[in-house]
Amino acid sequence: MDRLVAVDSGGTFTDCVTLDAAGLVRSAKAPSTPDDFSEGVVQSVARAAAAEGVELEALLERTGSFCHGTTVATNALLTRSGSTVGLITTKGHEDAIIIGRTIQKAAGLSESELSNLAHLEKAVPIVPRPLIKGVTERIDYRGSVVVPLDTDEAAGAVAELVDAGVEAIAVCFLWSFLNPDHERAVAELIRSRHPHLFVTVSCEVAPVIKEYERCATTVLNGYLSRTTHAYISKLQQRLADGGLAKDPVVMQSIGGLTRAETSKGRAVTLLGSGPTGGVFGAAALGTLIGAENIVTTDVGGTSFDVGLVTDGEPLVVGTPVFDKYHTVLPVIDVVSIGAGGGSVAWIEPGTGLVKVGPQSAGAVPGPACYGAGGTRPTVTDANLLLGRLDADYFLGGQRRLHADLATAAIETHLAAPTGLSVHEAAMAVVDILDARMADLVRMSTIGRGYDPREFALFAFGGAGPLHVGAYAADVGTQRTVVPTNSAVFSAFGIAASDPVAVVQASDPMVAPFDGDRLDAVYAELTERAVEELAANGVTPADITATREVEMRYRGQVHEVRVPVPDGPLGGDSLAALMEEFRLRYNRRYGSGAAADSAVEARTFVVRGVGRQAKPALRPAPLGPEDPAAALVAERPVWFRPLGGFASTPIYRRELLEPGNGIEGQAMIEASNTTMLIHPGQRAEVDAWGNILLDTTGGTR
Amino acid sequence: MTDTLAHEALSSGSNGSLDPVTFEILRSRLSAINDEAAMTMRLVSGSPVANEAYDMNVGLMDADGDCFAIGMYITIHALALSSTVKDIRQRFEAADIGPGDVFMSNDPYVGACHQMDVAVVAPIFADGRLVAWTGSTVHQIDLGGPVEGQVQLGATSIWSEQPLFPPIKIVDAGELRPDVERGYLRRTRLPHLVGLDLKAMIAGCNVAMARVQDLAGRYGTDVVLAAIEGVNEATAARFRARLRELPDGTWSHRGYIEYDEVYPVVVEMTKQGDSLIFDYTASADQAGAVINCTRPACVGAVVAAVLPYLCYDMAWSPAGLQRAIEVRTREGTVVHAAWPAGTSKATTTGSFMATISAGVCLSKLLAASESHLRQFMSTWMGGLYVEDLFGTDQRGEFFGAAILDAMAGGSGARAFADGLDAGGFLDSPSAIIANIEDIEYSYPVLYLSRRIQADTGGAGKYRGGNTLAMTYIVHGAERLPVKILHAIGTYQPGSVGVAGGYPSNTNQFVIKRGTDVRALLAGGGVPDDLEDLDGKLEIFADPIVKTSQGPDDVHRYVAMGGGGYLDPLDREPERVLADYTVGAVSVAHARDAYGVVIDSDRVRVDAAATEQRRRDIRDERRLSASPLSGAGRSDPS
Repeated sequence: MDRLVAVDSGGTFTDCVTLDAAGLVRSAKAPSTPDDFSEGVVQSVARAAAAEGVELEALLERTGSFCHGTTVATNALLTRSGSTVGLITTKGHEDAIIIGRTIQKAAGLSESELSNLAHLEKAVPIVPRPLIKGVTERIDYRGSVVVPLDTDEAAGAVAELVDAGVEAIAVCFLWSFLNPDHERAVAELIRSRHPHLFVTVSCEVAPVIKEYERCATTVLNGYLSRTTHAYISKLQQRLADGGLAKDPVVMQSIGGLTRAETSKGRAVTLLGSGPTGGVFGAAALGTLIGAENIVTTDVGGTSFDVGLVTDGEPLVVGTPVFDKYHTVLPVIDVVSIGAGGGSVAWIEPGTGLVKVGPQSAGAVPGPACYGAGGTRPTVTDANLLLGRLDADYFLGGQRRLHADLATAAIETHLAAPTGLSVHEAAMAVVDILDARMADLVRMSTIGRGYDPREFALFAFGGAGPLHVGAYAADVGTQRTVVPTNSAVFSAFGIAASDPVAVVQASDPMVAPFDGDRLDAVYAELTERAVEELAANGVTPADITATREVEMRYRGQVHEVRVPVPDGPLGGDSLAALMEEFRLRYNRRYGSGAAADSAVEARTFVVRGVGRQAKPALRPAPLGPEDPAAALVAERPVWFRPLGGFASTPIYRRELLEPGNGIEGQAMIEASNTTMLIHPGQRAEVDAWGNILLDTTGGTR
Repeated sequence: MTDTLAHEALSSGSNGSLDPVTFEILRSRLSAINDEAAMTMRLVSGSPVANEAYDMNVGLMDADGDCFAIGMYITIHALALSSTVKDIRQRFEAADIGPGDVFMSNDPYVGACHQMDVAVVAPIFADGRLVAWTGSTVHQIDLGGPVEGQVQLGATSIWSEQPLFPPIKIVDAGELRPDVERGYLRRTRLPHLVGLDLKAMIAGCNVAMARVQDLAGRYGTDVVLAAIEGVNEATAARFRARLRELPDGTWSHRGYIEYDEVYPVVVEMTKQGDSLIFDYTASADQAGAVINCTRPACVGAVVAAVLPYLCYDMAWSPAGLQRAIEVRTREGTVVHAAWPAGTSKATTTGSFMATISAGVCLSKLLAASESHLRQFMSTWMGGLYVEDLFGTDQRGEFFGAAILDAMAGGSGARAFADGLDAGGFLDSPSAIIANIEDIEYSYPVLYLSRRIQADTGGAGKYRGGNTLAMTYIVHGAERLPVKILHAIGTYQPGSVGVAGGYPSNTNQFVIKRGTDVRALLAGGGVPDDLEDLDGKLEIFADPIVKTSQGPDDVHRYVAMGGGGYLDPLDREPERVLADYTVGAVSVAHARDAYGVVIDSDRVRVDAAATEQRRRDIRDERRLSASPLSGAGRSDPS
């Protein structure tokens, strides 16, 4: 039972990482199987087992912890294949989830999508209007009952929903996070009469001020319940049949693991958990190598995802958007644009300018060079033409690339119309993409109040290492790191995670705060977090609970998360809390920004972490600086500062040793990724096998 | 990129122009810089106006003051910033415009859209040369004047509105001038909020300044200058190409501003080849104060309509567009005020209606184009209702607030689909209305309802989006002593239908006084609507009202839906039924506007009765038709 297995299901591939007691990491990939994702999960583990030369069962029997990142909830939402869900809400406010604060039509869209106003649409409803029932009741901003719950009316609404064939009922009343009595009464009523129905109430799912977002979160939890429950159950069964003794744990979108069994009733907390593993992996690796502030960049075939780690903690967003619905669920904040290897390059009519993306050739037909029917030039085609990809060693040789098709696509669609040479046109595509990525890194740090130049930049995902030399230099980040296992880094991040329970509740108050009231709030939240972790099998001694509060200046919209010191709150500790808020607010929004206003504390959060013993990654002794042993070839690669093709040494990633230093220009090839080192840049392999890139000396 | 490369970039194109790659990178970088400035400003401000209503913007201008990049916020501000810069260029000695200087102005006759939209602009120098300007603006809730908020009720000229200040240096060579700041904050009832927004606007300018300077350092000042000119040229080229794709013709519209009398805003739009002319000269003579806009605001209003209708697939660069657009106005009208006419409410009256009217013409242009019909939109919410509240909150503190729920107007019908219910506001597609819980926590009110209101979108084969209706009472305080309710589109709908589509509803606000609402709530009931309550209904006839709300009064308003497209008699009856089942259309409206008879007991369309009803409506239309007298062209309004 010494083995740790982590499996990350993505849209295209399912990645598996295993760790043994000695800290040895192995990885395997299998195609994802959207019809039944559990198939791809089991396949990836079988391949990892095969890599060790054992049977699947033998590996599973030795597995003490099976961690899993799944996109099943995200897929159910995107394909609208969730449950038929009904909503019971406060009379007079039935339309809140449809009004969607009017931002719903624009939520999560890029600027270019937003400027096409005639084609904006609101969310495809997860709850149809006829299944929304208003019930007479009203609670006010103090939590006082203004109008008591009309239980007869509530019973009638439930009966109508049941007659309409709902599989789940969500309940969300105004101000229920201050006074949950009405929601609980309705939930009780449903459970007593219809024990088979899935019931979810906002005061449990997301007891946070903001009725639209709270309502959407609760309805999503109902909507995703059946699909998630079915998938988790099937996976549990398959793994148990294969010999796994313990219940698997799954990655939550806030980060951290929770028992698969627990997640069945909380499907919404799995939503958007896909990129989370990578950000946590970066935080864990950052601790190891002394990087506290990190920008994570994940470059895949179609998207470029940017996350942040500050002071060692992944940055959290409190109101994430899922397919046009804003929710109130703290999740790891990842910003994404449509830019990657598959992005299509085109000429803008009227101006003749070269543009890249946001359209992608996708996996089918894919870039022109795949020879699968694609004719339009993509970033991958451009990289191939520039010698930055090896036609015979793409995905370790699994897919042969056709340079002639790439040339034809770029010649026809880009070079001929602009008068550029084929290689200049290809370089233009790469330059434009790199510049856009740099822009997103800058926007997603500055937009959150941080200076990217004070951060280390981590690059992973299939195409990250190929482009990072350019966008890191452009942004001017201090350190650039391509982690070991960069192509399966999300799975690595899942493996590095601990069980986590995040519990939150709003109880808005204006300073000066009442210490006793705060103590009571935190005592309850802490108790719930500890209970949940205990249910995960964590022993109390291993639990650390940290406390936070979302504060803001009165009349302002920006909320700042402030850590709350341990112990009872009163005089000095409250003064320290206020001071910390001012400090953080000023750091993020400018000094003296709002100092004269009254301060509000709104939402209280407890994050319980169950520290688990894990096999430690061990640094290897540094080898020679000379990387000659890993040199496998020389190939012409096109670089603008060198005026065109220049002979470039190619190193094999697997043969590199810690301590090796590589001067650009150079390339490092692995079976699943390629790294480019520009002229003047320098790469170094550290003791853990990460490649550290110094971009300060480069010319591009 | 190294200096050599920058040099290559410059020389590789013909005649020293930029190569297309460097240009595309710089173009997108300049636009990203502008976005960064906007984000910085929003972060520092933190106000709901800048962060939810998005009544703000940030622009980059070339050395002459032409705006080449504008954020996706309220676009009318592009011209305000541009005109302000041009005024400074003209009025200040070149030696008095230096690195680190920041100017501010709220003078509509210089450029600001109205006195509340303070413009802050700053020159950007690199290598000792003026390369560009940056500017930012945020709507302010109160800047003094006799009446709280923006609407200076009773004003007879600009002298009885908010104090004006033409461009003045607020930051001198990097040093904030405390005397100027103090003088500015002295005027407002809300010095804290206003002071914070001033800091925010300056912060936005500082970011743009530093980043453009970085760019010049890296690529060379000449390259950046060439890229800026390139943006204007590329946009003009792209926009002219768009115009050539569209049919030639003349379209016109007459919109109305209700005030002491009704003021028509008349526009005739002529599209010929690759030019576009908007002629507003037939608009009404100006009012004494409040509702007029100045010429820069009118030009900005035209740009604000052209961008969403015609520039849906290109970068938003106003100066490029302006090269192909001509705006004709007559001084002394509601859309080109002559000194000293007042303008305190311009952005929801004069310039608002100038945008709506231009938009109607553009929608007709698109409706006439087979290739661009899918971009057609009938009018979005053609009149914004705003409610300014001042009083004492539930904690005993003075407060000032703007209730902007009406921004969730209906959007216009499209040529392939209905408009969006609670779809929003054309000028600010990212605008957000506040959560009721946030409003109730901050202000002494309790919402009885906020729902999508049936039948408010214009009927049509494709109908306009419906909008909201809401009711609230005072809660946590004795009363709301100052409520200023103002809107246009209270006499007639601002959202017109196109090609046989019907217009929306009108903006409506009423208070039912002295009701039994407290007894009803205490007895365990929530009124469904005002009809459920006893009391005296006060229907406001005026488009601008200053009133108050007592403990037993219930306030109700209905905002404005979007316009419809094509004859509602051609809408499939099943789709009308579907609207009925979700509460978007009532039985009566289905029968009257769509000619669809719904059997509400069995929730189905009565097909025979519907056929008969539609025949009857067509007969009525034929009967009511009478020949036009005279041979003149019909007025499409």
